[in-house]
Amino acid sequence: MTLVYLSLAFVVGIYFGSQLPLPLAVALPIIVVALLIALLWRKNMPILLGGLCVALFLCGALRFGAVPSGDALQPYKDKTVEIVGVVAEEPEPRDSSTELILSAREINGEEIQGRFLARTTRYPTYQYGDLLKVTGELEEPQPFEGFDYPAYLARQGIYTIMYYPDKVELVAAGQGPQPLQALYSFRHRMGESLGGSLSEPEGSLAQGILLGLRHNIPSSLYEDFQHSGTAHILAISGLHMAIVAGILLSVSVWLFGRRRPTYFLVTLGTLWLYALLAGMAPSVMRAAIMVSLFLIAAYSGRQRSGITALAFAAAIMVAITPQILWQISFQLSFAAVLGLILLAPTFQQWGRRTRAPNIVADGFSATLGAILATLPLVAYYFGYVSLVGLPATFLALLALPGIIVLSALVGFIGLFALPLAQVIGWVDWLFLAYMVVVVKGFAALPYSSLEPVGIDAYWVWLYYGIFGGALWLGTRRKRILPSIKAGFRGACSSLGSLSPRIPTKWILIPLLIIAILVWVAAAVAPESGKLSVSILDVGQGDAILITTPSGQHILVDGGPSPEKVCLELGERLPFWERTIDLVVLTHAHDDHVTGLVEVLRRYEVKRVLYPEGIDYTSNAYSEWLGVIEEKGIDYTRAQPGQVIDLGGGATLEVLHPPVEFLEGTESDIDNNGVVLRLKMGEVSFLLTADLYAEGELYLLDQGARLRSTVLKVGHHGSSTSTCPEFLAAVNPQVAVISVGADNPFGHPSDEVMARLAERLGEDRIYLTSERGTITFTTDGERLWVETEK
Amino acid sequence: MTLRGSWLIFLVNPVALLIRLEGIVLDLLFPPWCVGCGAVGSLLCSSCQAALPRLSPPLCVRCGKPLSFGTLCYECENRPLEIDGIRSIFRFDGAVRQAILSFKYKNVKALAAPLAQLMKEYLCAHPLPGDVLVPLPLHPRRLRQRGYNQSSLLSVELGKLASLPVVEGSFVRLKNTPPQTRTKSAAERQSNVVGAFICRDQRLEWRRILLIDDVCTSGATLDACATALKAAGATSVWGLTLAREV
Repeated sequence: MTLVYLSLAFVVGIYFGSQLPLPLAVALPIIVVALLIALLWRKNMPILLGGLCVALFLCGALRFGAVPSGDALQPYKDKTVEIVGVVAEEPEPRDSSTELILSAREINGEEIQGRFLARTTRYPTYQYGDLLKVTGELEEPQPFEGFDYPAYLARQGIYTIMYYPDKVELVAAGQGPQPLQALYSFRHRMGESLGGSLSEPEGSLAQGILLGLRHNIPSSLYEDFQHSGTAHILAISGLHMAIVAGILLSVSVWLFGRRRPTYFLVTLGTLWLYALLAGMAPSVMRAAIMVSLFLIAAYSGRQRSGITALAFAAAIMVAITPQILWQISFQLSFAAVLGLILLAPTFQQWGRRTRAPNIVADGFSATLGAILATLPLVAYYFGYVSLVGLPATFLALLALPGIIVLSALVGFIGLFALPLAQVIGWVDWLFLAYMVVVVKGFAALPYSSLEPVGIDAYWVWLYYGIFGGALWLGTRRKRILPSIKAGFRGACSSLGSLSPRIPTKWILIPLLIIAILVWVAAAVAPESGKLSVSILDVGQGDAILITTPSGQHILVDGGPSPEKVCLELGERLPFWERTIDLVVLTHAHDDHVTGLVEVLRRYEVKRVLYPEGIDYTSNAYSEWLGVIEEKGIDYTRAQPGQVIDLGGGATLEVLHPPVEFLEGTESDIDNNGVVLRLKMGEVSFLLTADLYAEGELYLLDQGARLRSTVLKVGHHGSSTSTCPEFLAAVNPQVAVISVGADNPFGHPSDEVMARLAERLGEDRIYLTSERGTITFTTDGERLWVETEK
Repeated sequence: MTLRGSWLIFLVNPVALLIRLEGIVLDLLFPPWCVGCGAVGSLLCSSCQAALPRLSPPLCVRCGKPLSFGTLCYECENRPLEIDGIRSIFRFDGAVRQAILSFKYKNVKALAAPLAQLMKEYLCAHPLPGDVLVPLPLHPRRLRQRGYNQSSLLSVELGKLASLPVVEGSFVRLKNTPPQTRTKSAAERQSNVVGAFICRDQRLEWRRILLIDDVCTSGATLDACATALKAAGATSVWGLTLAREV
């Protein structure tokens, strides 16, 4: 327990130092005196301990005082500068932007040190270790909506920020410090192979759980994790580490035996490599320190002590970076483990008295302990309290060991043999899909979470005050101590119990998995012999998925968001499908091309069709061209007269753009969009991209066969398109508009809506903003419409 | 003033300083708590030690099994053992059970010292004939898995406390038998260990041997050891185990 007091003294000292700066001249003499007293009365335990605690407390205060409060970049704020710097952390892409943390090397040609944040466009993408030359204005971060953004950034050693630099130039790649550079490149490639082997959202979930790459997880799913009280599963922490360490230990004991220290060193080394690979977030580091201590305990023949390990981990981490004390992830991680150590054993005793099976009693008591200990922090920082966290966590966690092991296999094998990884990915998918189902199911329950308003910091303190008081009373009754040891048996049971249990059900488990996979496959496999066209709900933009009667897939445009289109594809395509036979880009605008870039990266695309050669530059479009070249995808320039036989009597015909692109129109890019007519028997679809009236009239002039059953209304229902003559020529029975809710352009226009309603009647117009994804299915005679909402 | 107990000893012997420091650091990082009640401070607190389930007479004078009356148990009367005698200190129960399980299966090697201390105290009160300690050997494969032989750790500690030599490596295990605790019948236990042990050299010839083990289930293992040791020329073989399953 001594170390607990010493560590606490240091951590409290750090906090004290942040509130009250302590001059060295005051602190140093007191430290010396305290140490002297401790040394002189070293036989008297309380005095020795007290002296050391005082000394460490003051050391903590001094350590905080030594934290720099600014950097060399600050003097350049509000100036336009040219900085050469290395991407110092894994970039975090958002829907439309990316945040890069750059470690500066040169500013305006002079050497400098310091970190700054640059927010840039989503594309082109950069990686850890890219050496960039950015030109733009450095600004001071500003607080917003009651969030102290400057302090948040300062804790990461960032004092300046650059919003959308005027110019970003890639100078060189792989310039990060070794061996981190190698590890992060490996992590990035593992992430890519997971994304390429699994459909969405399972792929990004695996990236988050195995590698700590959470930015790809769709925000809707992330919210579901929060509201079902399972968001902590997405943070790599003790449970992950215990599972990883358990596996590593079993393997290295099997390989090297326990007689020499090799097994121990190999396990410890690999564990820390994994911690680095997983991004060394506070929870990862905490878990790595604690698990290492437990391994050392076992190696040196000592008992483990959870509370000591926890306190020591905290002291080490705040000593390295004092500001970590204010990071939410740090606070949550330590609170959760404190709950596991102090509360869970008591609940476990109660639980074991009931008739519940031990695994349920133990699982529930551990989760309940962690939930109770983190409750006020979650409410304070995130503004919600989940009411279903207990059962949701219990059920979701059942899949975690499988996910970790299988995702590691998929990610690793995918580096060499993607097809093999995809096959293993089917099994992995099953575990991931199970977790998604559990999380979504619980989040969808009414009252799954409450959103209490106005939680003050002092409520948090009050809660922990009562919490501590109750524990103290419990300790006085001599109940808590025996349970401390039991707690760790529960919390880390996976460490020991993993290896002997695996072989018992060798045959049964694979059989069960195969059975479920076959069943799922049968359930989601598309009906053969029919043509289906899905107007995907991707927000303000276009993305249309066509599945041919012979089961091939064609994607027309990708919408504005890589996450959304991948998620839609993950839901619509069978889980094993990693191939898209044809991708069509109608025109180069961002709301059509952005999502496609990610699709090209993640799926095996056999061919692309687009108005190749058109003169247009944008980040996303050049990324599109770059990926086609990089992956060597076959491409065809779209021209009228091209007809693709889709089998089963279905054909796809290209009507537009003309061989000579239209010029001098209101928008040449839109007017040279690819127009497709899809036909099966009596039923036909006309997909008119964002063609303006000029383009529509040109098509009429050319005498193109336009008459169609379903019209995908041009340009998201804008008044620029769907002129009356064109509408009359198409003469559709159903119209569908791909448009985002509350978009800033006012799409669809009332004028076009009225024109369509007059011809078709209002109930024959479908909007993705109202109905979600809209799927048309036809057998050549009849047409079925199915909507999400 | 003697050097012992003074800091000055570390000037003469830096290795002792390192060992002392290692001890302090390990105690700080992994403070010992009582395996019986969880109280922090020592591996087996004094109140738990006092409450240990000692085996009390009457016991079978041969195999040490608790009896309700008499001096020899039914088995020993009908089919005498090869071993001269077995003594166990505790019933395999309560804090002793916890201690032995931690010691054997949870890597808590540090328990060797306090457990050997208990054996030493027993030996002082009830002397047994023996001039060399021999730990019950572990099969090499098991040793590879576990990393240490708990009986050997106990013997080494006991050897230090009782100033008795420990002989290892001469007496070895040939068969990797399943643990006796997992067998069902006495007959199975016996057949389990027949021919499992052998003496490889003459070091134990003409010696009075005290076999050391943690738990004794039926005595079949110790008896098989005695057979092998006597075949190798040992004068007498006694067994001392920390606990006994009753």
